[in-house]
Amino acid sequence: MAARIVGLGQEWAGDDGAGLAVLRSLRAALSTLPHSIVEEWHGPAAHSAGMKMLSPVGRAAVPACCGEASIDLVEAADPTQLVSLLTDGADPVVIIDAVLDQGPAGRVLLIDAGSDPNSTHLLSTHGLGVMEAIELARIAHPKEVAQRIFIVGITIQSANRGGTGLSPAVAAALPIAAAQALKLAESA
Amino acid sequence: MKTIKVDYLARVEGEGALRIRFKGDQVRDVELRIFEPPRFFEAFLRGRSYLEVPDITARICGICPVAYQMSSCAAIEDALGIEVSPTIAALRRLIYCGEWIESHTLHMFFLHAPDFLGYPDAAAMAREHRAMVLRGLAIKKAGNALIRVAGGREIHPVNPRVGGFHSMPPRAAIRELLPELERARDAAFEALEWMAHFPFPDYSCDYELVAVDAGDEYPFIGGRLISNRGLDIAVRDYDSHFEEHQVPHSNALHSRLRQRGAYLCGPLARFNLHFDKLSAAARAAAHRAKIAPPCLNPFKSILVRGVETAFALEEAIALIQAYDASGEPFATAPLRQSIGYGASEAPRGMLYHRYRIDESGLIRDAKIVPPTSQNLRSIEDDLTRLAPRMITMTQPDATKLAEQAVRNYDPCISCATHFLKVTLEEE
Repeated sequence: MAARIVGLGQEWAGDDGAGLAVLRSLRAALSTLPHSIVEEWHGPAAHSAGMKMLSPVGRAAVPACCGEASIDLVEAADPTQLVSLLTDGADPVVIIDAVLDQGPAGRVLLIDAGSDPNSTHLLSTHGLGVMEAIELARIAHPKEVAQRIFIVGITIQSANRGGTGLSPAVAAALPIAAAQALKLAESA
Repeated sequence: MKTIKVDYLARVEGEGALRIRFKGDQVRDVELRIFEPPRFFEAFLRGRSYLEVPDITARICGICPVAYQMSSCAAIEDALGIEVSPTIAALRRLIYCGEWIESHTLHMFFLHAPDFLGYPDAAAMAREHRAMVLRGLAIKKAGNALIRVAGGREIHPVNPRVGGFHSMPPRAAIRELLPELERARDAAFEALEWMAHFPFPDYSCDYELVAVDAGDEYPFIGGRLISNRGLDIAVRDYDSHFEEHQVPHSNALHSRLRQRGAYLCGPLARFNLHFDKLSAAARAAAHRAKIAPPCLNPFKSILVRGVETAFALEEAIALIQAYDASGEPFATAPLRQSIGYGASEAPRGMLYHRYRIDESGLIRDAKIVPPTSQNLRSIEDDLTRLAPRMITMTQPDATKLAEQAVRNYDPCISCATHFLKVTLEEE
């Protein structure tokens, strides 16, 4: 059963695109790794970047001889899409999204949606919130919903519609969020 | 003085704030405040190739990208004198059906229905109405699937382009959607019967209703704008009849008809102006739900969205059955310095685009007027007229009514650029 990482956001909405940016950085990093380089990621360079790859990941570029595990990388702009992404067999599912917050931007929040289903500090920039979508998936498909659902949130101060690119604080958080997302996706 | 203030309006796309102030039993003022920074897309488009415009404008909104693509294509094709074939026009109508289906369904089931049934959110509603919520998810999935097959991707479709499409989807791939669309159509009619029993506040207003006119068809893309008060103009005459103005409390521009004032666009306008062009089954379903023109209660717009969703599914099925993948996927024309005008009916209402193009095909000037910004004045007017009822309500009930009234319009504050917090203050 494959793990899944979902990057949620709107591309040209400034910091609201943080989730997509993390996902694309993961896709770019993973798709170019040949088998021989994968082994080197276990070395000092990987640890200093905060990333630890326990097994080969990515859909398209990993030879079958590398190992058993695989991670599905999906972009989404609408939280209602999460309902099908959470109920088609993928487990665990890690959702990366921007989170409106009064505090400093660029903090990375890790939320176990299984143990904190009513997390109220997640103010979504979308009409239907991420937590609401997760709850809908549980109610609609209780037997099929993924057992392990995690949220990696990057705090932002505004969605900045019409803005391109990320603010410096949010951009700096991308590698940390990516590393955490991978760690959660690979959790047993 | 009592003021109604909601700090964060949930269940609308984007962010915004509402403040209503009373003195005694009189409404002093109503302000729908938009806090977001001004949208930069109009400026961002300057210097870009005309071919990039549909892809760029599609990113203004994650819920209605097709509307932006279609309005922008219409405007650029108008500028360059490009005429699309009936096959391309039919495929555009098909992909637009997909957008209405998924956008309306998202709003009806997950943003607005909880208001009528007294739930704080869709998840709470789903615990007691699971079967109906499952229908909503299935209907939305069908709409998304249609956009994916016709448009190449569910979010920000990549297939539409100026002059048509990059490629015509294979007939077999399109026809594979039929079973799912047929099930969704049946679910949509059932959902409308469910919503018909919602408790609707007794309220109506004599709006001026404005919509695109597309001849004999229920409108998605068309060349004229009409109203219930005699407006009948070519889209290119929009700027002579409509104007935008800045209000102090909002970053979004308010629209009005010159010398007439506020107007309303969206499903209620389309329903009242083009009812006879709906399919027979959709009209019959509307009658069973006890709505028919004139329908001027904005709280019943959820029913109108239900009728339009069922119609869009029927229309999609008919278009797929007649679908012909042959012919050139797009039309072209020589570049020329020109100005073009285009309008289409986004799920939320009429979306107007205007572009000035130079001899090299670069955009020199752009104007984009989303439906939500056109409706902002009507939203404030509704709240002003509803405010006397709120004075006699408890604070929580008054807040709920105010929020529900705003959600009547399914406002996409992202498209209108500019987020809602509703604030109640008592002095």
